[in-house]
Amino acid sequence: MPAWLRRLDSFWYAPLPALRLAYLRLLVGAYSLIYLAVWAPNFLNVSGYAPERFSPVGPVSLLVSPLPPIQATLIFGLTLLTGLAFSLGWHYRWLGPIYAVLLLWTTSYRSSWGMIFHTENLMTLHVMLLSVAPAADTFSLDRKALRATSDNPANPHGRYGWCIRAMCTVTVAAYLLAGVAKLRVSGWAWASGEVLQNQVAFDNLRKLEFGSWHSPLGVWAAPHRSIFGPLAALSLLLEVGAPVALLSRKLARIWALGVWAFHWGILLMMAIAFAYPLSGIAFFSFLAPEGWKRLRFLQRCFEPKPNSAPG
Amino acid sequence: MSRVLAYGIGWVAVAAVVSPAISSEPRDSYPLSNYPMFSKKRENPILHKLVGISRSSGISGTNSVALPPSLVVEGSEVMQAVSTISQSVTAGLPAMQRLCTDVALRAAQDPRWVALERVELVEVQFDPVAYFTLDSKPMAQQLLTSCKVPHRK
Repeated sequence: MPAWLRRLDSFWYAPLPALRLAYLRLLVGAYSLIYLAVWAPNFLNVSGYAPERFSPVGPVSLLVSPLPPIQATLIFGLTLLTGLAFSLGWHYRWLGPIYAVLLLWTTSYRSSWGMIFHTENLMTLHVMLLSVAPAADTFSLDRKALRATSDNPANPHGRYGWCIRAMCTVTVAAYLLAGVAKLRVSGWAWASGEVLQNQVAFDNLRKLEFGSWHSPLGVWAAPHRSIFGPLAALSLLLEVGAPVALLSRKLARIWALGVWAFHWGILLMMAIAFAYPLSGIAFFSFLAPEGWKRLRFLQRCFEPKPNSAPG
Repeated sequence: MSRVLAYGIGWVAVAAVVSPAISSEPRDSYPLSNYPMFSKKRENPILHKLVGISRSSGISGTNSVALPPSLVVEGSEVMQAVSTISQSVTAGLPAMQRLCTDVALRAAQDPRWVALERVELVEVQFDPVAYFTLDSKPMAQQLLTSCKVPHRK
């Protein structure tokens, strides 16, 4: 095998612990479930929109007209139930992929009325990847049900590593694409800050004109061009430079911290909340959550009860 | 899971995510997008909005007030309201009148809007930065349609 192929394989099929993948399943699953529950009224309200507003995206493009409200509500309910099973790792082999499909459908359906919720893309892609990986081999109800009779998947293995690497690569790709779009449309001039100043001003103007929430910091900053140059350059650097996060764990942590701060900046300047990255969970695939002491209590809930000794 | 499957699924996923950007016509969709938000300068953007006109000059000291997104689309936020209004403008006068009437009906049922007499759908044009540096008045403004708020006597 050529050296470059060996290097690629050691990255993609890296032997990583089953517990890390399981933590990602639990954290990403729980986040998506809470997200759906919090936004449930908004997800359900779209059923009441006028049919002429229906503008399907993603898999919803298979429909020529909106679903009857009862069907849409039923699908949303099933999404929540399977989301719970996904998070807890219960009958994961079947319910995991079913949740991923339902989540994709539910979020696509809400984005099929003229406004695309870009805040959900990464969360859905991560759930889809996790759903086809062996993410419930440990730290799950499936594992608990097996009791201590089966082999413990304690040894790191590539079958647990590829999904984590794919989640990292998809995350990096999403930010890289955002950077590429800026360069394609505005060129390197984007880094001067003029476009960002204009965007922050327009977004806050629109919110003010609609009598909605706006950012007082953005309103204060809008007239000051000098603020936006460094912010724009840093934003573009984080987006276009995203692939460095795949080179080493240290670079990944620095990049993730930078992008997390960048999203807080967007929230403070434009009152736009990209909740998944803001929560930090979007970047957990770059980290090792299985080592965090504060999360250890979760593991006890899933520990298999040892069989009693025969008598 | 076999190594072949791990490569196949993972790489197909990554290729799918990258695909909107490498196609000849980059597209913004869901769950795959080229993420074009914030990429382009909006020179003097046109905004369509719904305003409420009060019976007297009672609301906020003026006789015209911005109607919040929740009146435009029940339980929605600002971007959904923006999209609802712009869809109706694109669809033409009957759609604009229908939206105006819907909003007026919703306002009539809400005690907070008891002083509203009329709802107007207007097209306004701004210079976003000048809005905060010089003057918040629009560069141009045009009334597209209006309707009465059907308060009960």
